[in-house]
Amino acid sequence: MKKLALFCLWPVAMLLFLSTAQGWLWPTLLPREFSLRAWNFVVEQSGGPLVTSLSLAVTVAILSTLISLPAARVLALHSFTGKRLLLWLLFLPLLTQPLASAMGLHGLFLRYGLTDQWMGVLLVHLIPSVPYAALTLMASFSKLDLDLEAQARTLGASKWQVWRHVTGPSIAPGIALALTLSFLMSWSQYLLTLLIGGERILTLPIVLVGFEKSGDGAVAAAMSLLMILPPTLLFVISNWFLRENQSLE
Amino acid sequence: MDGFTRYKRLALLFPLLFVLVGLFLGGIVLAVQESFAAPRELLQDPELRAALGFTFWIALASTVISTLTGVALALGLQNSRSAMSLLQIPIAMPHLTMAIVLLHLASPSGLISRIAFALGFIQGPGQFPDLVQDPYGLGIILTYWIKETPFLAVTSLALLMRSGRHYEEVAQNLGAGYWDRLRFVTLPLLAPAILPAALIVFAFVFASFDVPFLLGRSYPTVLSVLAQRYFQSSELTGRPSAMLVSIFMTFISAGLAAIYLQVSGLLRDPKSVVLP
Repeated sequence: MKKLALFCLWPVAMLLFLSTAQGWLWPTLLPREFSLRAWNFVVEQSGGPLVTSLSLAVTVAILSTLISLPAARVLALHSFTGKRLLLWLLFLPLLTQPLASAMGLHGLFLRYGLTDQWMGVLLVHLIPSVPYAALTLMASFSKLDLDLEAQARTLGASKWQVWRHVTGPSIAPGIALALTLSFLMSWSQYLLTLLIGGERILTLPIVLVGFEKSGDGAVAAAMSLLMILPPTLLFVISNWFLRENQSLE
Repeated sequence: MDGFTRYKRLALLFPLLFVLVGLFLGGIVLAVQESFAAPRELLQDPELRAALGFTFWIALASTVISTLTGVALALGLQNSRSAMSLLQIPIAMPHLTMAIVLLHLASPSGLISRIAFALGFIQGPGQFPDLVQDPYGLGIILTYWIKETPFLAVTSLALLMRSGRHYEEVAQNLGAGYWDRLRFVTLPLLAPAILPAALIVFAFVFASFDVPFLLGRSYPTVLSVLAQRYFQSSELTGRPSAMLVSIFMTFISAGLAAIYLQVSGLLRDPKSVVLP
C-alpha cells in the first residue's frame, strides 16, 4: 500500500517541488533555495483565470446535467427507432476530441460574434460534457425501480412529490457523478477553449501552457496544482457520497 | 414503464438533440463544407503522412503498455479496497498537468538527467537521450502510460472485486497453479471489461492534443496538433486543410465508437458502461 501511495502521489510531490524551486540550475539535484515566489504570483495573478475556469465549468456541469436528465430517462427506459444511432452519436464526442465540430462551428460563431467570447466557449464545452452526464444518468435510470414510482402515484403523490421523494433520491448518486464528470470535462479542456476563445478567454489551462512555453516552469507547476485540486476533491466527495448511498441499500 | 407518447419522448430528448445534432453534428457539417477548399496536394503531403503513422504508433504503444501494466497492477492489488481511492488521484489529474510533470522529469535539463549526471552516466545535458521532443514520441507515450495505467487498473479492479474469488478458488481446489488460474480463469473474466477500456484509451490517445502539444516535436507530430497548426496558419489553404484533417480523425473515431458499442454491451445493459 505504501508503494501504491508513492506511485499515485509522486506527480503531485514533483509539482510541489517544481513550484517552490528557485534557481534550479543543471546539474544540481536540489535548487539553490526554496521560495514561494511562484505561489505569491499565482495568488496575485490567477484570480481572473480561476474565475473564468470555474464559472465555465460550473455552468457546463449544471447545464449538461439539466439537458441530460429528461433524455437519459427516455434512453434508459424506452426502446424506439434510432436509439442505436443516438447512442452511437452520444459516444462519438466522448471517445474523441470534437475537433472537427469546434473548427466547423468557429466559422459560424465568427459571424454571430461568439468567438473569443465566454458564451462561445461554453457552447463548445457542452459538446464533450453532455455525453458524460447523459451516460452516467442513463446508468442510474436503468436501475430505477418504476414500481416504486407507480406506488407513490397510486397513493396520491403529485408529480413533484414523486420526483422529490422517489425518483430524485434514487438517482442522486448519478446526478452527483454527472455533475462531477461534466465539470471536469470543462475544467481540463485546453484545445476547444483555444480554438473558440482564441487567446482571449483565459482559462487556467490556457494561462498555464503560456507560462510553461515562456519558460516559467515554477508558475506552471503551481497552476497545475491549482488545477488538480478541484478534481481530487470532487472525486473524494463523490466516492464518499457513493459509499454512503451503498450503505443505505 | 412510462406511457410516454412519441411526441413526449421527442420533447424530452430535445435538449440533448440540440447539443448532439445542432452543435456536434452541425459543426461537423460546417467543417465538411469548408474542407472542400483544401488543396489536392495535401493528401500527398509528407508531413501529413508522417503525422498519420506517428499518431497510430503513439495510440497503439500507449494502449498496449498501459493495458499490460494496468491489469498487472489490479492483479497485485486484488485484496485492497483503499487502492481504489488512491488510484483516483492520478486519474483525476488533467493530462496537461501530467505533461508538465514529465517535461521537468525527462527533458535534458530535467530531474532524471541530473540524477544521471550525479551518478556519472553523462557529462553534460547534451548527452542525455532525447526523451521529450524526440522523434519516436517516447515522452508522449511515457506520459500516457503513467496516466492511463491507473484507469485500466481501476476498471479491472472493479470487476475483480465484483466477481469475487470463487472461480479462482474452485480452480485452485482442482489443482490449477497460479499461471493456469491466471490464463484460464482470471484473464477471461477480465477480458469483457478490459477490451472496452483499452478501446477508450486508444481512441482518446488517438485524438488528444495536450500531451503531444507540450512534449512532442514539430516533425513528426500527431494529427490533432497538425490540424490545429493548419487552423492557425495565415495561409489561405490553412483552414480548409485543418478541416480535412479533423474530419478524417472524426471518421476514425466514428469507427472506434461503433466497435465500442459492440464490445461494451452498452446496448444490452446500460449499467455496464465503462466511462473514460
